[in-house]
Formats: sequence, C-alpha cells, structure tokens
Amino acid sequence: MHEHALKVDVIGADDRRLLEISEKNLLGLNLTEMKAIRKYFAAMGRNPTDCEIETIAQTWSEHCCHKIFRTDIEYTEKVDGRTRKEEINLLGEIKKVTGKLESDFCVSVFKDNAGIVRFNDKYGIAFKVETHNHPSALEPYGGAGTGTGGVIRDILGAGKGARPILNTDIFCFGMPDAGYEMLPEGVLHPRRIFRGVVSGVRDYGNRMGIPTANGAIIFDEGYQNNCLVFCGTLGIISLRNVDKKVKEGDHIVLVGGRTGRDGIHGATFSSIQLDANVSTNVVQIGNPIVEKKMMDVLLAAVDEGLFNSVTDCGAGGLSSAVGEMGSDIGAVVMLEKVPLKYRKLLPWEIWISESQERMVLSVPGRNLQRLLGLFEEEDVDATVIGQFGKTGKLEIYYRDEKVCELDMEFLHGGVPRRNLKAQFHSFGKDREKEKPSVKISDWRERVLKILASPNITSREAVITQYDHEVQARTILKPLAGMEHRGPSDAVVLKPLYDDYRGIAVGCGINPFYGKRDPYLMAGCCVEEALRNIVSCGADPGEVAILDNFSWGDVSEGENLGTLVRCVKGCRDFALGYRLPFISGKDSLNNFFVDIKTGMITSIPGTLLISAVGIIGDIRRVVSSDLKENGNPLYLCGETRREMGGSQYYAVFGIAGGEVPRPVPAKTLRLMKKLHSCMEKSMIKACHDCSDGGFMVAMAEMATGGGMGAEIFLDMMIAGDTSPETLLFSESQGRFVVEVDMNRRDEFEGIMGGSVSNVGRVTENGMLGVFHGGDRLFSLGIDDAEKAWRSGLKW
Amino acid sequence: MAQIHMIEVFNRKDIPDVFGQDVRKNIGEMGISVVEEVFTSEIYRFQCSSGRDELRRIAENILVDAVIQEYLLDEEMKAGERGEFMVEVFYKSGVTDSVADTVRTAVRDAGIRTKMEVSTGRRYYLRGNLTGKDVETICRKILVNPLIQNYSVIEGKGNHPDA
Repeated sequence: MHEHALKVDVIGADDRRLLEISEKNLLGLNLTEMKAIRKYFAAMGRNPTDCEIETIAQTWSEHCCHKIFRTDIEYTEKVDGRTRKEEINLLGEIKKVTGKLESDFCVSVFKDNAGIVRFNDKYGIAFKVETHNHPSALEPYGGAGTGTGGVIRDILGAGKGARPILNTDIFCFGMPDAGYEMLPEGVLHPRRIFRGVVSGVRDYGNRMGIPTANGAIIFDEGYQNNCLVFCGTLGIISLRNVDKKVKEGDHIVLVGGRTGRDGIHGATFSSIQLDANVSTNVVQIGNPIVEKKMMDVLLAAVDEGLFNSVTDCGAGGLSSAVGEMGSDIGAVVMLEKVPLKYRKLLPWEIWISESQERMVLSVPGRNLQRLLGLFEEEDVDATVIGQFGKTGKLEIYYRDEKVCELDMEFLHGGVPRRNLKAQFHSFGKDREKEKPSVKISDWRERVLKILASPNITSREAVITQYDHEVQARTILKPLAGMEHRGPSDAVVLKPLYDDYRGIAVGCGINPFYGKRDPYLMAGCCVEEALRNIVSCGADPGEVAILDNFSWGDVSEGENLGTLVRCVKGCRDFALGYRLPFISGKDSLNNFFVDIKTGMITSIPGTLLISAVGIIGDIRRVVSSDLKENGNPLYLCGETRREMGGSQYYAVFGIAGGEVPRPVPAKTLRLMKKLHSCMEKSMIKACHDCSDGGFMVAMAEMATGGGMGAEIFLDMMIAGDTSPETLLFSESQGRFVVEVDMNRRDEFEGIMGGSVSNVGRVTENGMLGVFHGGDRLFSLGIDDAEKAWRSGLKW
Repeated sequence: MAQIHMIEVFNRKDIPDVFGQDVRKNIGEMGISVVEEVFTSEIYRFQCSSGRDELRRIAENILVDAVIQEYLLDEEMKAGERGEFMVEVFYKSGVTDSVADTVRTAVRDAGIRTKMEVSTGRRYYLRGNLTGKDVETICRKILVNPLIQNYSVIEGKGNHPDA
C-alpha cells in the first residue's frame, strides 16, 4: 500500500547494516545516531519510511544542527607550560560573551535566521554571514551565487522579514599561479574557482539590486583543494517585526521557485568530505531574477502584516524549514501540492530538495486570499502546502498516503549527544628564534614587492565588478579617494533616506596568524573587524560581531583542539573589547581526500569576524585617503616586533617570529578617544595598520589621496626601533591619522601619550621615509600606486 | 509534429567577441599559446511543432539583439569558417537551465501558444594550430564543468550530429 514511500528496515538491522544504510543513502549519520533511530522506531513498532529517515538525516546533519558546537567537549590544554582540563561547550562560550555584556544594542541574538541589533527607536539591522564552501569548490559560479542567494533569504526570513541592503563577500583561494600539475584529480584550478566565485556573487547580488561593498580575499596554498566562500547580507527591519510566532491553524505557504532535484543531500553532503566522486545533484543552480521577484512581493506582504512567521528554505529544504517552524506545535504537509520543476519526484526528494529561491510563510486564514493574490499579481508562485497543527507531530502526506510521522521532540531533541575529546598544545614553532634578518640595502624595492604581493595588492579587479551604489545608501565606498584608487577600511551606509544616522560594516580575517596561534588569531580578527569600522567613524561602544569558523578535519582530538583554542580566544577578546556576538556559523570538515594517494589535506583553521557598528552622523565619516598638504600625520598605538605570520615574512620567506598580540583594554581606550576626535571633525583621514604594517597603510593612504608624505620612523612609539619592525610589523591597535593642522593641539590634548606625530602630508608626489636622522628611502607615489594596483589580475 | 530546431546567436563580424577574447586569454594563461582566436555563440534548442516563420519570430524578437548580433536557424556555419575545432557545451539533464525557463516565459508572453521544450548551450570555435589533445585539455580545464555539463567536439568539417 506504500506506493510512494519505501520502508527502510532499521529495526531488523545490525550495526554493520545500519552503517551501510547511512553510507549508501548519503545520510551522514554515525552509528550512535542510527541506533537512536532504530530504538525510536522499535518503540513505535514499525520501520521508518525513506522520507522519515531523510528528514532525520537532514535535521541531524552537522550543517543543520552544528553538533560539534553544541556538544560538551572534554578539553585538555597545554599552554606556556601549564596544563588544564575543562569541559567546554563552544556555542555556549560564544553566547556567554553576549550574556555577560548585556548590551541593549542587541535585539535578537542566536535564535533566528540572523542576528538583529538596534539602529534607532524604530528600526533594527539584521546581519548574517554564511559559508558555501563545498558547493563552490565543485561548481564555483553556481555555488557562490547560491551562497549569496541563500544568505539574502536568511535576511528575508529574519523576524517577519528584513529588507536586504548590503552584501559582503569574503573568499579564501589557492594561489592563482599554481601549476596545473599540482592539482589532485577532481580539483579545479584556483584561478578558475576565483573567477567563477567572484562572477557568481557578482551576478546574483547585482541582479538582486543589492550592493556588494565589503569583503576580503585571502590567497594561500592551504585552500587549493578546498576554497572558502563566506557570503554575508545585512538588512533593515522594523522593530515591530522582530518577533514572530507560528500560530496553530496557520497555513503553510511555500513561495518562490519551483522544486526539483537540485542540491539533494546538500546538507548531509556538506558534512562529509570532498573527493573526486561527487554526484551532479549536490550542485545548486541559482536564479536571481526569481529571488528578486519573490523578495519584492514578500516585502510588500511584510508591510501589510499578512503572515505570522517566515523562514527560508535553505539547507535541508522543506524538511528544515517546516520542521523548524513547526517545532513547537507540529505540522501537516501535503507534498503533492508542492509546485515541481518536472514530474516524477519521489516524496522524499520533494521534501529534502534544496532548490533555490524558496521561502515558507505561516499565514493566518484571514489573510490567505490577500496574500495569494499579492503573489499572483507579481507572477511569483505561492502555494498552500499544509497547516501548522496542534499534535506536536510532523505529518507528511503524498496524496492520501502518509509518508512520514515523527514527533517534533524526537526530531529536534533526539539527536544523541556526542562524546568529544580535544587537546591543544601550543605550537613549538613559537619558541623558535627568529632568523636574523638579511642586511637590507634596498628598502624601496622591498616596499614595492610587498605592495604587489597577492594578499596585500588592491582587489580593484573584483571590487569594480560589484555594484556598490544600487539602493543609493552607500556613503563610504569600497575604494577611497577622488579617483577611487585607495582602499577603504569598511563600508558605510545610510539606511534611511531622511536620517543622517549610518552603519559601518567591516571584517577581520587572518589565517596566517592562525597557523601559528589560533588564540591570538581570534584576538586579531576580533580587533581587526572593530578597527576597520572605527577607522571610518563608528562608535566602538555600539558594535556587534558575528563569528564564522571554517575548519578542516575535526575528527581528531588535536584538530578539534585548535578550534576550541580559537573559540576561547574569541570569547576572551570579545569580552575584552566589549563586543557582543549576535550570530555565528561553522563549516567543519573542509578537507580533501586525494583518491590516488589517500592523502588528506585540511584547510588552515580560518576564523572570520564580521562587525557592524553605528555611525551617529554620516557627515562625520572619515575616509582613508590623504587630504591636504601640511597636515600632520600621527601614529596611534604602540609598535612591537610582531612579525610572526606577517605578510613581510611571507613575501620574503622568513620563518618564526611573534604573532601579534592585541591589548584590548588599552586599545579600546584609544579607540574611544579617537572616535571622539572624529566626532569633533578634526581627523581628516584615518587608516588602520594591519597586513603589511605601517608602511603598507601609509602607501595605501597616499595612493588614495594622490598625496605624498614625510615620515620619521623614530617618532613611532615602539619597543624595537629596527626599520623592519617600524615599517612592517603587524602590531595591533594602531591607526595612521591625518589631523587638521589647525587642531593638532586639541587632538594631542585628547589623545595624550597614546599617539605620536610621525610626519606630515606633502604634495611633492613622494613618500620620504627617514630613520635615525637619515633618509632611509624615497618612493614615488606613482610607483607605489602602480605596484599596489598591479598584483591581482582578473 | 514536434521536431528539434536550433537557433545559433552570435556577434556580427564587426563587433568584438569580448567573451571569446576572455576565453582565449584564459587558455593562454593555462599554457596553450597556439590559440589565435576564440569565437563564441549561444545555442537554443527547441523541441516543438513550430513552423519556420514562428521560429524566426522567436529568434528576432526574443533571442537576438539586432544591433550587434545575427543568427542561424537550423543551419550550420560553413565548415572551418570560424575555426578548426568547435566545442559545444550543454547542461546534463536534470540540471536547472534558468535561461531556458526564461525563454519559455518570454515566448508565452510574446503570444506564442505552441508547446515547446527549450534547452540552451554554448559553442566555442577555436582557431589555431591545435591538436585534438589540446582541445580536450581546454575543454576539461576551462570550458566545461563535468559535474553539470556535457560537451562534444567537432573538427573543422562541421557535420553536426543534429543536422
């Protein structure tokens, strides 16, 4: 009698057979989980249908329920000679930060599709960053495009619907000049992935009419077999629409695109490793025009208050969306009502398909006709596929046959807790003595080389493909200066047309530090994200952050240990800078198995911190390009010899060194003072020091402004006065600032001993750098600009 | 009775094929320098009972930008006219073809009621002193993603399987 749903015999299966079932069907479930399923159905006295097994697999997949971040881990740590043991819950540690800070800037955290912060007394800002790593490695254009589409839908599904106003994109690729011989079978060339991913994000974002205006690109061999694609979206939402609740009897309405076989097993697949044998189905193809149409109608429906709740159809498709929305009260679904791309889909396929551009609404009966009519007017599919019910069960029918019946409690709460152990030992390399520097004769050449290096060079070739003006909210653009040649630290938007209040969005990412010290990497990423937005005028007291972890193989205790260590860093430094986390995501198991050699390569553990902050008045925004001849230049903050993981060491092949250590209390005080100077309009330009250190920051400011500078390195507040350190050390907590010459006394009065006057802006077209009373080198700004703008070819 | 028809759309001779130039540059970066020119076109396949006039309407009103493009209907380029090798790339069955969906919608909006199946593809004509092996490498490394696409290679003589 079950024509549409097959029974899967788990009750009668032994352990070996249970594992076989999981593997054959790409369920991604381990033995403990399969046994829990067997126990549940044995108690029910029947076997599960394929639909039920698939539903459980999707809901319990790492991608959907983040088992590693939610489990208590037995963690042993050996740092600086001390050993300590503790039980630690990663998600718990992140949430603790927000709990402790009790900031009323945070409106909704860790419970919805996006985190929401307060913008003013009427509106909030929703922000979410997602990864789409595995799909992008397979089909860069489709994977990156659907990654963008997906995170946009997360914003559409935040609260009762936020309006997307900004996209961000952060990528990690292998080296663009890698030799083809080096690539294992099944891996696309990094250049091809780079171009495909950028094109995918560009085409999706541009066609949705959402500006893509902030991001980063990292190039490192470690990402050759597994690229990383982080896509973020920011939206604006009325504070009245933040809370949502599915009500009993609400209709389940599926809107947007049709359903096909795309991306089946996308969620379980992304939790399994990549190798050369992957099926076509797991690739999702996007259609931004459909999503744009859906978005427009959805926002109109939000304005009319037509639905009680909404979520997007992402990983796991309908099974996740309806499963989550109905988790408290249950749902009844009629799968035959789902509009299909083509016929002959099995019920379980319809249920877990990850076809793009779909969202699920919870609509009260009284609004149903109006809602369906609205969607029809705009030629967007909207179909009633069921009802949210009062049984607490998930019941799915296909025609009249019941193909699934699961307790919501088992579905959402039944996943067995894992027993995880992790260990971390500080990496021995830290203790290595730095190799003594080679005698440098030509500083000028060194600076030019580092400016053109892959991780410093201008990303203009990419930035200029993204529309950053659409919606007319962009105040500070990604490229600075009258001719858009220099880099901006962050993007500033003015969300409301009749209000000068603004938001700044920036990010911090540096896996190079992480290879040496995951704890300090966390600190530096947190600070970098904050530094970037403070450089433009954001108030350090009104900032929230998001975390995204992309890690390699975490099945081994030591690899998991580096992740734990990094999370601890996030906790400690976020507390230090008083930054609440409002949302986060993890993508684990980014590793590749070479089928020929059996070798496993994992990516370097990568943390991305995204930050959003408030700008009281966008007329006080400060850009990074140098402005006026004669204005004094100050370096805020202290410079130490912290070259470990630096771009300078990477470019010149020098090993060892100390990874930069942020100093939160001191730096936060400095940032607050700097911010008050900005509010008083005495700062004419500001750029933070990060990759490449002080000299790169200086060259970038000169490029943006088309102005030169005279710089006296000895004036820097520094522990070590060697030119190498002063030019290229990547010590944290530093800003290069151009001050209005008429207000320098005022500036020095406020900043005190935390700044020093290191030079001044000139208009002779040269960067003149002095050390120890002598001219160390001169660099024409045209040469600096040429080098910096030449390193990334499209 | 439904038949298979093909419309091939490409830039006029005096309009630079920017996409083709980009592909040529990529091929060069990969190490194959003998490609002199890459010429590209869009392929639309229709399975329908439409007559020639109706197909012309579809081509001229929907698929072709009359200012810079021209087209061929159920006709092949003269053998070797644009290059010694021709590669045609198309989606595997089951892969979403958004452009094809949009073409179907546009055809309906234009008032044409004939039922039709649409699929899209691309052609790359490669000119240069290439071997068959070179072309295979170019296909695998640049033109095709075997996960979602199939392809066929025709050498200069131009007898296409569908003709």
